[in-house]
Formats: sequence, C-alpha cells, structure tokens
Amino acid sequence: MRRLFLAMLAVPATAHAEPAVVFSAAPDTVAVTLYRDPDRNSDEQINRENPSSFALIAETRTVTLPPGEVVVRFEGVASGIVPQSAILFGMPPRERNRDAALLSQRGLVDAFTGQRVVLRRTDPATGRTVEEPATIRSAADRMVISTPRGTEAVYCSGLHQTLVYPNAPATLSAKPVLSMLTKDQPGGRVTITLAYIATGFDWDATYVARLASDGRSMSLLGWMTMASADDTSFVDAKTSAVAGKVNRSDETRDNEGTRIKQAASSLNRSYRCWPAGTTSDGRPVSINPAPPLPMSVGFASEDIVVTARRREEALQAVPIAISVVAKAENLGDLKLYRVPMPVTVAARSQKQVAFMVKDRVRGEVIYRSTVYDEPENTQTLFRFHNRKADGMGDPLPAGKSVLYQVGTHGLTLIGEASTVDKAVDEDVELVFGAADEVTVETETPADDRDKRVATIRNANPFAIIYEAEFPVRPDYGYSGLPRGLIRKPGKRVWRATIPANDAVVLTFSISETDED
Amino acid sequence: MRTTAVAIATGFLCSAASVSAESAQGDLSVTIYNNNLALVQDVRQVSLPAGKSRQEFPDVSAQIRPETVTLSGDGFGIVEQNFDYDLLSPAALMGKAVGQTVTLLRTNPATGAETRERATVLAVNGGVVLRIGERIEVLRDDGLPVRVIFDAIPPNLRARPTLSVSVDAKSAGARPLTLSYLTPGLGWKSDYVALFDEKGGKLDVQGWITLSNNTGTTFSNSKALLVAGSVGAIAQSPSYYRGNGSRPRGNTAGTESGGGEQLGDLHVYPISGRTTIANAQTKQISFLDVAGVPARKGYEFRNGWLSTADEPVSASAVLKFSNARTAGIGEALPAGTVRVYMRDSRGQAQFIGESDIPHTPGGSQLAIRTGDAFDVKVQPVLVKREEIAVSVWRSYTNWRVTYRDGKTEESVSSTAYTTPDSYWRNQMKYIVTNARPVPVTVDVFQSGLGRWWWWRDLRVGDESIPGVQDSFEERRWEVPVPANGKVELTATFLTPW
Repeated sequence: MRRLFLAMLAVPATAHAEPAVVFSAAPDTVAVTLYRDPDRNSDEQINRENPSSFALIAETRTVTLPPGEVVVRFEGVASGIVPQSAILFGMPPRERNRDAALLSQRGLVDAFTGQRVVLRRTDPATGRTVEEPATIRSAADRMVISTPRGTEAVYCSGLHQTLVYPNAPATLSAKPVLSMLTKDQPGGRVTITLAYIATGFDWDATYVARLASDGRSMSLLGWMTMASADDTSFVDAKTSAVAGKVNRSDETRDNEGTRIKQAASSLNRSYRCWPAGTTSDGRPVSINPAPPLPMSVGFASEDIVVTARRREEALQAVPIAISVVAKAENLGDLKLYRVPMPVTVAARSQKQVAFMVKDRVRGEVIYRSTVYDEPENTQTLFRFHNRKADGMGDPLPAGKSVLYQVGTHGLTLIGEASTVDKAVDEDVELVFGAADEVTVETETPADDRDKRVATIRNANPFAIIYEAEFPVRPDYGYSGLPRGLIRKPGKRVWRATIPANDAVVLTFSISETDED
Repeated sequence: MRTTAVAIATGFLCSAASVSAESAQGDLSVTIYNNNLALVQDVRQVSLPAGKSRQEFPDVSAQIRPETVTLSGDGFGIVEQNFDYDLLSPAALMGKAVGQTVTLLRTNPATGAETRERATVLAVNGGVVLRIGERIEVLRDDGLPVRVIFDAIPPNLRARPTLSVSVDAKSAGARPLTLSYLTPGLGWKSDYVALFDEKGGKLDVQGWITLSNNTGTTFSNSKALLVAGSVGAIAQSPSYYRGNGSRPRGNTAGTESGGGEQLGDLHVYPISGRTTIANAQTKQISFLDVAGVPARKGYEFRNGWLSTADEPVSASAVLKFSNARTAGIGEALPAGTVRVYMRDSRGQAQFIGESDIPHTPGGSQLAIRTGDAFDVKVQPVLVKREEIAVSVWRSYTNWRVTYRDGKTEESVSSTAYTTPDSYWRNQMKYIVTNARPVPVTVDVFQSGLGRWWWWRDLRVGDESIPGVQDSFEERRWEVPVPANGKVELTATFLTPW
C-alpha cells in the first residue's frame, strides 16, 4: 500500500493550473529553402536516398488562442526538424519543446506500466473473445503482466491475445511534435511564423550545354535539382535554393527524431521470451514502408504555358523550351535562386526547375597540356569568360555539366565536366575529356639531358588551338622557351594553332633556377 | 504481490486517467551542467516504520549513477543502498522459476477447451524442461499454445532499474526524505539566433537554452538551475579543443561581469517557475533577447607556405560583433551554436550559416565564420622562387620584420643551431577579386613564416600594402577591393627555407 500513498501525495504537486493546449494542424503557407551540402564536391552527385544537406522551412500558421499561458502544438512539421534551430516570429514564447515520445506499442506499454489494462484473448476456433483485467509489469520487448490468476507473459504463449488500453496518453504523439508555451497573453487570433532547419534535403546545379558546330559558342541551360527525403510533403511551397558554402556546426546534424522513430518501429515483442523449443511460431516480417510518391511539379497557377519555342538557327538544334526560370538574388555572400511560382516539394522525391537559360555563350575550345617535366596528355575544354559581353555574366553555382554537340549524326554526347562556384568576371573552364586525336610525344636528346623536344600532332580534319601551360614551381623552372608566352596567374602559356592533320614542335629546357 | 498490483490499479483510478500524475517523485530540483550531467534533488514524504525497513524509490532517472546517491532526513540511519537492474522479462521470470511450480493452461485449438495442470520447472537451457506429474516435457515443443502462469514475481526482478535503501528508523512516522544523485542523460547547451541586417550594420540576437532529456524518466514540475561551464570534466576528449587557428581573427576574451548570477567561476541560469522536463524532450527556454547590436562583416583568406591555387578560391565571410554592455548584450554567452539569418529581398529570414562559440565572457569581441563568400575570392600565386647569395641576404637587413613583441630577431644561441648557408627569395602574388556591387576589405594571411621554431629573422623585401606580423607564423594584409574590382597584392619573403 505504500506505493499508493506516494502516488496520492504526488497528485497535489502536479495539479497546478495546466495551460490550455491549442493544436495547429498544418501551415497556411510554407516556404522551403534548400542548401547545397557544403562538404559535397562539385563532381559528386546528390545522394537521393539519403540527402546529406538541409533546408530552411518557414511556415505561417494562424491559431486562435484563449487568454493566459497556452501550449501551441505545431503538427505537420518536417520529420527531420532540428528543434534547436527553430525561430518563432509573432509570438515570443516562454519555452518551446520538441517531444519525441512516440505513440507506439513501446510508448503505450511504457506509459501504462504499473497500470490496469485489459487482456483480450480470441479463440481461433470459435471466434469467442475473453477479456480479463491485467496490470503491466514490464516493458514492451519483455512483456510480463499480472492477471487475477497470477503472472504470465503475453507474447510467449502462442495464444491470440493482445492488450487493450483505456486511452492514448496525451503525452505521446504520432510524430515528433514541436510545441511552445506562450507567456501570459490576452488571447485571440494570432499569426505565427515558424522557421526551422530540417535535415534530409539537398540540391545541386546541373548544366546541359550544347556546343555549336564551330566550337566558338555554346548554349547553357542550368537546372536546380532538388531532393527531399522527408516524410512531409510541402504543398504549394515558395521554393528557393541557396548557392555557396555555408558553415555548418556538428550540433545541427541532429537526427534524434529519426533515431527515436526507428527505435520505436523496431520492436520485437518475443525477443525476451523463454526458449520455446520450436521455430514454428515465427514472427511475420516487418511491413515495407509505403512506396515514395511520384515526383510532381504542381504548378499552382494554370496560366503558365509554353508560349514560344526559341529557335537558335546558329546552333542547328531545337532548344529545350523553358517556361519557368528561377530568379537569382544576393543573400549576403550567398546566392538565392527563387522558383517564381509555388511548387510542391513532395516527400521522398526529386524535382528540377531551370535557373539559367543562355542561348549563346561565346568562348573557345582549347586542347591543353600541363607541363611538369614534359607535357602531359592533352585535355579538351571549353573556356569562356563569365561576362555579359560574351553572353553570360551571371553567377555559376557549383555542379556538373553535360556537353552535347549536334553533328552529322544528330545530337552527340561529347563529355561531362564539373565546376566550382564561379562568380561574375571569372574564367570558367569546362574540362570535358581527354583528346585522343591530339597527341604529344616528348624526346630528350642524348647530348642534353635537360632539353625536351615535344611534338604535338593534330589528327583531326580541322585546325585546333593548342596550349601548353608551364606552372611556376618552387623547385625548378624552364629555360629556352619560345617567345611570346602569355602570362597568367601562376603559369606561362604557350599557345599555337595547329592546322588540320599537321604537327608543331615545342622545345625547352628544365633548369634548377629560372633565368627568365 | 497481488495486493500491490491492486493498490496501483486503484491509484490509477483515483488520478483520473492522467498518466503524469502517477509519478512517485516529490518536490524536485534539478541542477543541470553543460557536460551531460545533472544533480537531482528529490524531497519525498515517506512514512517510515520503526526499526529496519526497505524503502524503494521509483521514478528516479533510469541512468542514475547509484554510487552518487545520498539520502538524508531526520531520525534514521542508512543500513544499505541497493540498485537493482535485473529487469523483469519472460526469460528472466522462467530462469528464476527453476525448481518451482507453475500452472500450465492449455487451450484445445479445435474446441477452445481449457485444461489446467501444475508443472515443476526443471531446467531452462534452450528449451524449458518441465515435470508434469510423472512425465518430463519440453514446453511448447509441439508449437501448440500454452499459457504459463507464475504464482509471483521474484522480488528483485524490476520493470525498470530501481533504487532501494534499507533504513533503520528510531520511530515510526511520515517525514521528508531528501534523495540526491547525479545522472547523465540530462544536459543543456545554448543556441543563438542572430538576424543580421547588413545595410544597417545591426544584429538582433536571441539566446535559447536547449535542454535535452534522454534519461528515460520525466522530471515533473521541478525547479531547474542551469550551470554554464564543465564540471569535473576530467575525461574531456581532445576533439573538443578548438585551437585559435581554426577560429577567425578578431576573437578577444572580455573582462566584463554582466548582470547574471555566478557560482564561483561558473555562470548560473535559474529558470523562473517550475517546469516539466519530459523524457525524450528537447526544451528551449529564452535567456537573451537583444536588438540592434552593432555588427559588421569581414572577409579573410589564409594561404599556406608557397601555395599556388589553380583558380580563385572563395574567402571566408566573417561576422564580427561584441557582447560588451555598450553593444547592448552585456552578458556572458555560454558555449553553443550561433545561427545567422538574413532577410532576403522579400523580407523572409534566410539562413546564411552557423558557427560554434566557446564560453564567452562579457565584453568579448566575437568573430564567427558563417561560410564562404561566393563573390569575394583570392588566388594566391607563387610568382618566382630563387636562391640568393649570402651577400644578397645580408643586403636585406633593413627589411627585417618587427614582431609583435617589438623585436626584429630573437637571439638564439648560434652555437646550438648552425647558420644556414643558402637563402631564398620568394615572390608571392595574391589576386583579390570582388564581384559584389560594394567595396570590401579582405584580410589576407600568409602562414608558414615560422617554419623553423628557432629562426626569428624573417625579411619581407617589399609588399604592395604594408603588412602586420600577427605572429611568428603569420603575416596579414588588409586589402581594400573596390566594387566589382580586383587588387593584386604582392609580397617578397626572404627565408633560409
């Protein structure tokens, strides 16, 4: 009887005025801003199954509050919410909470340990059910109950029996729930803006480039590829993506909510049963999660249609018709790309929206070797200066590009390249492959071990621009170089035009110190 | 045991379905330290019989450190303290029943008819061996359902780990007992939300205390006190060490005391009123809300010795502010994470980066890295490196660097270390570009200038902008770059390496 006494004593201590609870079921409007994983290299793709970055989710919610201190529970927040990142505008709270005690079999058993529930047994032969009172004495994965007959294990008998609970405790919730306790306030209708970071998102810039047949320009189409692995779909969300590297703290890589959910869903009821001596009562396999929703681009307004197809005669190809292009703006030292109309960021899906359409970016195709001891194998690249005068002049977020060219056999893939974040007025080089038709052969004459004679041969039926780059090295230099080298930061460049099916010769010497 | 079960069931009915009211906790006060440690004090009204008795204390932290438990009160002495963590499970129950009799209830799967037998448990070794009358049987070997009913639960098998104390009381009667113990699983840290207004040069800072409870127990309606600073953290892992090198320049510890409470060296944050810290809960309580703190942004870039970059590299964006009283904060900032937001063109707050800060006394200068600048870049380039004659080296005597301590060189015994016989002239160029429509200033750092710990005779031949020798290791230039512009910084270092 002692325990009863203690329980009775504890009641007055907790029976002070409990604040009223107001539920906010869903946001009125939601904005999702995706961030690129700062640790993912420009040539690494998004991990679609488990996106490694995060999003900032800003919701506005309208609630009607009674006066006084009120608990507001926000339902339908992202499952990957990092609770410590949440900010609230419109209603300064006294405290805010993220409750991760989940309504599950484990949660129910824990909540009702020591309390009376009903044990229901069904006779499979007759369908008759028998109910008897029981008290839970132990946890869900090692369930022992007391009945008027004595003590027994519920899930070790092989009988069809289950526990029936009198209610679902208010402290348990279906998903981790964010709530706040307001200060003493007059009550009424309040609009609250809730912003928080949620993990399980990522985005990438992916470019599709079409090289003109003369190699002097290309069309560039930039896609924002956005991935969400969250359980929550954000319908008609104002969607944007941030380019540039943000600093992260390990404290924000919070997956406590996910961990608790997994722990709750991995309950093995018969794990601590006594040996049954047989395997005939095997457990059913766990049910697979629901299949992901199909990717959807839900245009909110109906009047966006593909109006005109821009035809670029010079490119000899039909460009992709793009009717919606995300707009760029500065956000401090980052770039924000805003999708101009609300879209749905569906749970566990990937979607793409264009953010850059450039019809004609002028540049040139270069065949390049870097010289260390001797010229290395030749790479092919497209180089352009990122400025308006050359048809570009917009920031270029890091990502991968696919390069096509329209040849005699139609559209051909000529290579893939990647670039880091490139600001306006920078040189951009898209290195899209090794050049097999342009070969370099270097010889060292027997009488001069420091001398190099390199023969560069062009097997293509067209003339090419060839560049040999001599980087400035701390340990050795070059002498006897041809005249008219181009100086670039950290290197000197020898540039030559090699006619179709022809060759050029480059001679130089390696020296300890540079006498240039 | 049956009476206890009934008693609890009655208690359940009395408290009108409120689950939280079931807690056996008394008047709670919790002191939570930064390093995942809490001191719990629980004052319970307990009626002790005269003489020796065993008192159980349910609803203590499931992660309690039993060796730290103390129980105090009037008129009794402690005989022993026990912490029982042999958990009640079907397997444990059967294991303890070896040699005892249990009741078997068999149900005929075809008719549903029940038969009842008494059986003695002989052994539990991969199959429960039973003696029923004169037969020996293995439990449920036929796969048919059998209910096993035990007469009682052995006393030391628990639903949850349970603390019990045996006491010897002089006289019977109810009295308050104070139970105090340490538990891990209850910790706190701070989180800051900083809304930066770049045009106005202002920062709004909110500070939140984030409490987390993973103890497995809910602490109901308790007084809470938070203590900043690590207590007794002997086994602190070296990964927590944050050297100055990883933090941006501009962090200076302050000397102001602030208005908060202190406990020795530690800062104390009492939480007003009583609060319930539920299990698996993350609770945040506001402790700081300041608007209009002056703040500015800076950029910095660090280059390694003789390092050349193939293409321009983004400089770090650094946010600088102070928690001095004159700046509007005037409080110590406990260690935590600062998350920086800015409003976009439509006024929506967007996240621009975050950084951890250590315990920061009042009056400190803070510089936190928010991320990399998209539009502000530096390309360091080695222009030329050449060996120079000793006579050339001597001609550069006037270019000796003055260190922070005012010395130009440090006298190191030349007998212990030989004078180098070769010297190098290293010409560096740093191309600083700014694609932003506003002018910026970039702090460019060159490190690797103290490669030999005993060599203190660095000579900087010429530099296009006067530099500052921040340390033996690093030299810094403040490079102003016009809007949409480019500045080339050059510097020549004369070194024996």
